[in-house]
Amino acid sequence: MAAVSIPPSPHIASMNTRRVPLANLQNATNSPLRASHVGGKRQRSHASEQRDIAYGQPPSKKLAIEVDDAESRRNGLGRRSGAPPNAFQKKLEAAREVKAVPKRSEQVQQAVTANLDNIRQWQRHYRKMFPEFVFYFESIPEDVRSKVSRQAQLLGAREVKFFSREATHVITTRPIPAELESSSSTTTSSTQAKGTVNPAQLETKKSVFDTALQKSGHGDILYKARELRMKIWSAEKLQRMLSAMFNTETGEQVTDAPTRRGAGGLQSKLGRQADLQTLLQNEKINGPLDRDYSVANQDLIQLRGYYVYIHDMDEVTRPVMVREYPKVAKKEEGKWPQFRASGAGKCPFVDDPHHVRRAQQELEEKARVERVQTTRATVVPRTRAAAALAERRALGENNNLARRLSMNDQPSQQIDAKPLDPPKVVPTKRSNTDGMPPMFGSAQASIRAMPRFAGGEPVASGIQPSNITSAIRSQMISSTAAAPGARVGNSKEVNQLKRKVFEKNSAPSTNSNHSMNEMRVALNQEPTQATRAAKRKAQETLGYIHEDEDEEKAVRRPALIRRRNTKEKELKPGYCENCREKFNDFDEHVVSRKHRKFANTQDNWDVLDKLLIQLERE
Amino acid sequence: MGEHLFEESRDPLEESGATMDSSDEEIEETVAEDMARFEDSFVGITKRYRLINRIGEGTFSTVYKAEDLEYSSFDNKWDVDEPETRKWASPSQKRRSRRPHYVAIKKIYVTSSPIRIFNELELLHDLRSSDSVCPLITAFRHQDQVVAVLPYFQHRDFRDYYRDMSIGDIRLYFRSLFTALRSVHAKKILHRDIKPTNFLYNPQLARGVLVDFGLAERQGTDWVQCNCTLQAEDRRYRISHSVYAQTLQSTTSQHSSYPKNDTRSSRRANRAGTRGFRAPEVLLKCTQQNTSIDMWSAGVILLTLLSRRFPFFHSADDIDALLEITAIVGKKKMKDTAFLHGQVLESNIPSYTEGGHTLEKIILWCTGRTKDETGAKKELDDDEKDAAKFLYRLLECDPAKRITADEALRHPFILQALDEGEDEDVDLMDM
Repeated sequence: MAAVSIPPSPHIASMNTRRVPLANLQNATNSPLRASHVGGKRQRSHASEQRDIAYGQPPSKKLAIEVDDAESRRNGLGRRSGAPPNAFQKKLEAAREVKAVPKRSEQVQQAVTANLDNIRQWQRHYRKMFPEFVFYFESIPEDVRSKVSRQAQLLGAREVKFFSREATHVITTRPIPAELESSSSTTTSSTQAKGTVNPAQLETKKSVFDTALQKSGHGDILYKARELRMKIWSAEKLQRMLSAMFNTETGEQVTDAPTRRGAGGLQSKLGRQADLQTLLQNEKINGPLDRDYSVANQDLIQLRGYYVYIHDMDEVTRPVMVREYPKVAKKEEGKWPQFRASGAGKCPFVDDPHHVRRAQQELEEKARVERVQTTRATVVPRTRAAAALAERRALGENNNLARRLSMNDQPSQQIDAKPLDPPKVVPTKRSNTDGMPPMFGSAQASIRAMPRFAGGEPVASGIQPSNITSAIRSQMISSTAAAPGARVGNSKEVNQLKRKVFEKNSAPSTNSNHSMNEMRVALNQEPTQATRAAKRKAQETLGYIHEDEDEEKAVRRPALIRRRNTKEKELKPGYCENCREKFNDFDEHVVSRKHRKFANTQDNWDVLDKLLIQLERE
Repeated sequence: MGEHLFEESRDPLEESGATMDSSDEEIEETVAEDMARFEDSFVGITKRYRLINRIGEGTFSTVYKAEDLEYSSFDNKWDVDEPETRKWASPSQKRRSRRPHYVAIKKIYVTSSPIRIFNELELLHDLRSSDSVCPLITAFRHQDQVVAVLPYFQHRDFRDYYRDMSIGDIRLYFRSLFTALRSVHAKKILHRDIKPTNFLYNPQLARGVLVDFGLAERQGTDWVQCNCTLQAEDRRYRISHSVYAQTLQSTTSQHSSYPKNDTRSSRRANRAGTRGFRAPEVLLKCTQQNTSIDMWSAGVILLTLLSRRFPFFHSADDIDALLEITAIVGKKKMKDTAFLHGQVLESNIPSYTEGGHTLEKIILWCTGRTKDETGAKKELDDDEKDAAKFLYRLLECDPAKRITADEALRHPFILQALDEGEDEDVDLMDM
């Protein structure tokens, strides 16, 4: 915790911003830097991240990408591409000149300062204005629109998707029609934009708007906009304004930069001279500014599927969340959390195939009953099936809520067939960027491994193994097991690795929870049932999920478990905060010499004992 | 508290055993062994308490029901039930008051650090006279084994009643819960683990107590300035001058990408709590979390009760948890929430709409009330509508705008509980 408040050393700061191509990092995994800043645990998880990532990123791309990267870097800084310099490059050039000719700097500095003052004033002015702007984009390519719109939104402006009097500005790439007699000039001057439509005017404007729309002679939006006294800006103008708004050369950003920002803190000390460095630093963080992002980069992983990516807006810290899901034909098939068909009382994010099947059955039953009762014209009582049907209707009515294939045209065999489908070996890239390994003794560890394996079987995609006791099953259904396959897509190898972890260390210190114990025992008994296990393994290798075909065995198992419970001593793995070590068995650890030594050292207890004295019963 | 606490994540149903009242049933063999081992290892405990059964297990502790053998030799201010029972007892009964007195003994695992134990006990001691907070009777240590003795509360398992609660019942439940939270928050303490299993509620008495301060902390611990505490204007300024804003300006592509070998340090914030009950700012690693995180968790409980779904959120991990919330509130609000904490949320996941869904709609859908046979849209009844309105105040993504426990107790939805309660009394009088 304390680490948070320590400002990063310059060394770390430089680490933060440097993203050397991997080829230059000759031993990335065991470099001393890594070792000192990245805990051993993290390394492990890095390894696993990379393993997952490797599926999606063919290594063959490396070379081409590196060349491309170098090229674009050069282009970015040196402007050798022959393309005309853009605004940023000009600024960069200017900044560079300042640095290159320090002798003349005093004069230049003054000019620059004056100029920056202007810009700053201008920025302040528009920062106040932007939150009142409502843009309507017209005849603008989608990619430009989305980018510009996002930028404008950062400044507090809004975008309207449909042209209405709500809009204050129309942005277009087409020629801007001449002013109407009465309206003031708005198209050319960027510094004296006169603000937005008077809100009071807006109230009474309805008729104006309507008449404008009704005048079919000039059906064009731009003319309507004129008539409604909206401002019409060219896309280029807005882009220029935005680029000026986001211009940080004014140094304003630096002065009140949060202390967390390692780079920011550094900059403020170096003053304006550091402008170029700022730009370069930012470029190091974000890549060359004119890089072609459509080309995959060696050291950046592009999110190509469906993803969620949450990152620090100042790029000082690691992204808080990154997860990518494979593209799917229908969004309902996506493995991300979404509302799914499920029965009353159940978690609405967990697919519940039993619910669907039950609903189907009850529906049929109900239909039959109804057929019998057709003559009686009574109000149909609300049944569970009806409720289920209503739910499904809701799902259908709203595309945003996930839905399985309509069960009317897909009979229940569709649902029944699913568990037998081989698990897809689609590598799902999932990386918790914290890179925290599953902790022993933390609930996290059990959560991740536990639900996927019960009775030695992988549990995936809403399938509940049928060969474990109902107690276990109910525990799993109600907890995380019946997850709609958030973890599906792990390769067999990964699953097996996880399984090993689970078998050895599955239980966090916490879970002497009864059914968990049973599950553990169920796992432990695998070796004794060698043939079954082998058979199952073979099936798993084939990609099949084992379903116990023998109901009788399922019934017999609980008895077996009970007996074992009393005979075999279970291991309780966990983590000891006092010895700072993981252990395989709680009972063994607490009598170990190291732990006893801690327990018997009075110093360790002094503070607590003082409190305990106050807590004595009176 | 070390890294362990940072990563603390509890299962929504974990410790569910804690609310099971099977204390008088037959004891399992393993439990009996466990209790015997505990009694053997803790010198002298058998003189003071007689263990009866194991009633719960948590991440850092096991809880036993026990008979308090020394009850009569101490002052028992904590015993809320006692004065009433004594009132009605005849003097002879009082003398014979050999009625067993029960307590809950919390055995804190010896693998917990003394600092962690100190933290919990000290906070409990601080809260000793707080309304609806489980009082600490005493605590003591033998070598590395520390036990806390708490009153034993008769209560019912949440899963037994969550589907049957009327809006009136819900009002009473939350009046009790917010009373507890008001006293905890008044001391600037974050409970961090508000969930049904930590609020032992007795529907008959409409009374509950808040338990398990194992993850609690004082507000302000390890705070580092977060964007969310800035003035709105400063915040917007910060955002528009962020590296992201610049990148956006210079990038033409819409593809997001992230560094492969990220050597930057990760953002650190206490995220302890239970999956599915954590507020967005906890998931987004806000570095200045305050007591309002508990109010969000209370909101999740209310959502559970209104939708009759438990657990409402599945949340296998933080990412899932945030996405589940996004499914409800929509991308726009979640993006704004991310910006609030200095972060950028980018997502192209097609299931989440910009505007999200109204809570009313979600409640209707979860309770199977969408369209009836005639195709007419169904509506919540008036009480439920009030509840939903109140729910918006709890499940508010901006912690600064979220209702506080004190405000909640003065909210019409909760105040109504008093009126209804009085009505009931009148009815009883008439009879």
